[in-house]
Amino acid sequence: MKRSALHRWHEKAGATLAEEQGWSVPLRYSNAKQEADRATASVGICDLSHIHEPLSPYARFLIAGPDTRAVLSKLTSLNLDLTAAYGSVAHVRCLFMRDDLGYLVMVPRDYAEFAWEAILEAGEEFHIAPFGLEACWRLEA
Amino acid sequence: MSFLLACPECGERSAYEFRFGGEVKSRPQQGDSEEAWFQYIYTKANEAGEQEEWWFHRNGCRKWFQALRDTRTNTVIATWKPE
Amino acid sequence: MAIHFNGRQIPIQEGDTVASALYRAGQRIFTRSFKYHRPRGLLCCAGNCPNCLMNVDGIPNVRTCITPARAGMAVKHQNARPSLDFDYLAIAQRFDWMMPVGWYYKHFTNPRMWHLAEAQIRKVAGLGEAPPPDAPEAVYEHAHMQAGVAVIGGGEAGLKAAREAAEQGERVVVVDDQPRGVVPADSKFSLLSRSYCFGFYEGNLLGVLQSEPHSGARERLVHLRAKRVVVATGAYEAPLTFKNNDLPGIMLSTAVWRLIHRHGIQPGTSAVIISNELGDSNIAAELRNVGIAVVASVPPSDVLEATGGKHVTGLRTSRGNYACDLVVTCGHRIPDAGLLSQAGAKLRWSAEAGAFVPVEFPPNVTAVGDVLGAGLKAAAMLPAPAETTNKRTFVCLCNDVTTQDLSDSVAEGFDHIELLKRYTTATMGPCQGRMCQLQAIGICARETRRSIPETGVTTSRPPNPGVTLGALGGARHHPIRRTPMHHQHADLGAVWMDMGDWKRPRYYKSAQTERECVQQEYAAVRQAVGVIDVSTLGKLSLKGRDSGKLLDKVYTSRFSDLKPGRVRYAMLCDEAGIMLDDGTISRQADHEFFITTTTGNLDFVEQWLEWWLAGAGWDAQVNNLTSALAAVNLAGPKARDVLSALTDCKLSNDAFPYMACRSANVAGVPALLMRIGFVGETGWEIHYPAESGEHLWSALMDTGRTYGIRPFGVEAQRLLRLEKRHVIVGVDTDALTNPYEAGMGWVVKHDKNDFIGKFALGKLQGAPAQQSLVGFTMSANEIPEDGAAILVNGALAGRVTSARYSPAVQKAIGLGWVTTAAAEGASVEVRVAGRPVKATVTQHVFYDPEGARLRM
Repeated sequence: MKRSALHRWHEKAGATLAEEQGWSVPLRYSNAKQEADRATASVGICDLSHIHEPLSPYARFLIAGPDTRAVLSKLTSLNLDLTAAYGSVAHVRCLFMRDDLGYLVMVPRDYAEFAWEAILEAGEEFHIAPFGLEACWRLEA
Repeated sequence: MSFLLACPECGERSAYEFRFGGEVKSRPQQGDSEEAWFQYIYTKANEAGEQEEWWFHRNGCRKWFQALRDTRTNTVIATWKPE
Repeated sequence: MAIHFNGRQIPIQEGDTVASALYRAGQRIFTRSFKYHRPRGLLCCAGNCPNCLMNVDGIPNVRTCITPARAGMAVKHQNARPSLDFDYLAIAQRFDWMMPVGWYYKHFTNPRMWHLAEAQIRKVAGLGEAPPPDAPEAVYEHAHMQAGVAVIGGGEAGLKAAREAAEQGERVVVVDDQPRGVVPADSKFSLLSRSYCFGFYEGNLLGVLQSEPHSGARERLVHLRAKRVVVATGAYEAPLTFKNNDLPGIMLSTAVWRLIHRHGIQPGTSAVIISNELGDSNIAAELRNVGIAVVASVPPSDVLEATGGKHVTGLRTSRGNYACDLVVTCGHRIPDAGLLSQAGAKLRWSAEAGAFVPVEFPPNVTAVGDVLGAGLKAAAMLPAPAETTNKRTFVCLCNDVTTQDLSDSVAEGFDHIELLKRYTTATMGPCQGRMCQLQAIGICARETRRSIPETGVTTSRPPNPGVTLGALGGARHHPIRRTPMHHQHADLGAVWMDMGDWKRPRYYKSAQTERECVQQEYAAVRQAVGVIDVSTLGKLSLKGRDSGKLLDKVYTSRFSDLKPGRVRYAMLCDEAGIMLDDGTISRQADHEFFITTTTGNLDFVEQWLEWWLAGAGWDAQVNNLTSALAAVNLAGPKARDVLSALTDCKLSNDAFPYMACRSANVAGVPALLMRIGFVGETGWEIHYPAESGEHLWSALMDTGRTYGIRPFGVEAQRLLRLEKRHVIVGVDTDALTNPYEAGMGWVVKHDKNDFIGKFALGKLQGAPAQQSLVGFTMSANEIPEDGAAILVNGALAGRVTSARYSPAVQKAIGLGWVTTAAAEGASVEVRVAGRPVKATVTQHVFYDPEGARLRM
């Protein structure tokens, strides 16, 4: 099975993993509804690396919720008004794309675990938490 | 050094995002004089004023472009894709 | 509700600063001065002077007069022993004759003496102590903001400008240093309260320091980029100069106002006001309103000296002597124009305002309010008359510089204001000249018989005010790069080493010592099979009709004639013929190549290729696949056995010879296989999608178990390659190495019409080499360190670049640079632990010189 750069992180965080398009993905960490509520009320982060083009160097995170911009502004000098742009997150070059739910951040796969943890640390003041694919589907619904 | 540079691909960004690539020079042909090659390899005009130079957008599109910059004030007068 | 001050409980009230709470509790001495340990008390109450700096919660030099008091804060005094009230170091005042201006330049002309004295001076002088290394770390963070208009200063003028800009539809950010709530929140603009702007940088970038942005952080540094900046920093009050003007109880009128109105404190019982505004001034009414008797109001020119020991007890004037416990000075008001000056505005002397006022603003920078200097009036004669010069009239409170010191310095020849500043250190302390600059300029002007505008003003540079190093550093974000198999290495007991951002296994902990572990890994590769994660190699794909042309131009050898399915060694040189990087290039199809670079040089090589493509109009696209691909090197006599169990690809010597490449599935994963041999055994470098990194690694380890497979780390790899005399660019070479000196001239193809470095390499080819890279074998088992000296007849002849114990040779071997004369001699000495040890220079490969094992 194909693995995201955060596979081990998800395992350690107690995520329920499942197969999706040949990839191992985190369905939920504890409770999908609570995870979705958190992302609606403040901010959450989801690993969408399985949405993947062949030979892509990127891991893909969705950062969603009203505090998304405040979190990202601690990690990037990019003007987040832009809809899609290259920039950096915690000094790692990345691609930002604005999304209905927040921002998609694509970071080189080998920096993914570092960037993920830097985003979680920056989001502490907003009580950021990771959310799984089930919560993501709820948000998209 | 926090001036702004307009990358032809990505737009105006902080100079921190770029790598400076030196003065724009023209490369001699094989067979040109040793003096021409010496000047090309080892010397710099180091203009105190407007200078054409190379910049690489490291944190962005990762492409090279050229800029006309006043080295005394860090005013960037123009940027363009090289031809 | 209380704070702890030197272990004592001090009650706090709503709206208190640390300083106001201490003052209310009776504290009058807040600091001891830098040099003479004179008692100092509250002076400005606005964060402009150094008089109230204390250690708060372990952070030194906190301006307590603008730091809101919070229950439980631990506050400690600085620079006084044992206490602020009884500081035995105050004896320094008696020895002021020993410490004239610039005294350490004069006394410590012997460097050794200075080094001895420096540590002692640091103990008795100075401003607080850095937190010890084991102190709990405060949290600092950074944030970035963009604004249409940034307004610095939330006073009346600033807020008016902010609202006007907001009405024009601008995104406005207001920066204000007052506590939350002082400036009312307004939906029209964003407000950064408890924040000050310490620097104005190019491109209208403002450095803003915000205190306690949220409960989890002590300070936040905001990088605020604005299209337009409005400076509304106002004007601040400066002290007047007279003898003993630094005694506690002598305060600026604005400080007295703040204590009364902000904190409900009565700052004395009987006051003398020093003011040019004779008659019943506003401040006199303020004092009487709170029950302070105004003993007298006198103009600055009549003041002779203040009296008192640890607190002011009276004022001597030419009109008579007055007993008092408070002296209120109505001093010059000075436009706070440092930011404007940093932005490029000029400062022009205005005699009427008694101040330098900003003029000629750069584009997109404006100012409003008192910072423009309109309406300010000189408060006292400037420059002060010469007869006021003495050793107890303090100009610079930060560094204890007196009027006498300044006069003496000019007499000693330091007569330019910038020289005077550096020699006396006036204006260079924590207040950055806020309290002293005007007086220093005045004295310089008087002593040099120049006018004030001729004397000029020193340059303001960021940071001003100062910032903590923690805030500049921000959160710890040193990026870490992990290969797809990182956690598998951790499971296998990897001992890590850093390579740039990468973490790589140096070796795996399989035995007691590093040497044993490395020997086991080495033996596996030489005798059975080993596997190393080489995902950190730079991996670039190059596609397009002109790909071969680009490679021929940029690399020293020829690639346009490389056949699909073949691999070739590749070296990059610059135009001066210096070796920059090496790797392999394989041709996958007519118009498709795959390039590997060394771990550290990927960025450089990618940029180098892009640079030579820029504007060339060639059809060639470089695509960086480093993060997209995992890579392993499977090597050893059993490598073929392991690999053949996992792939349909034919691996025989005929089907897959040395220096060939193939695309094939390995363990069900699409992969590029290259038969190359950095470590000198039959082996394959396998590149495959990163998301299958763990899967393929596990498959190799599982299948290899019966063949005795071991993972090996960088240390074993370095030993293996050293036995093969394979050079590592950047380890065995440096920024002056050319291929001829490195013994690799064969890689330069001069028959190409043109390539980068051709001209210089042509010159170097025929020229006698200055030095050569050679191999050597040690006579004993001692291993020299990298960089150890190589000696010929006792004289320095070169240095070691790599050395290891070689199990194949059963001696220590190495690579090193030697002068060409020494290269030809067979015997040299290598310094090991300070002692020369005999070694033999050899041009041979240490292990399998014919390369037979690569082709097995």
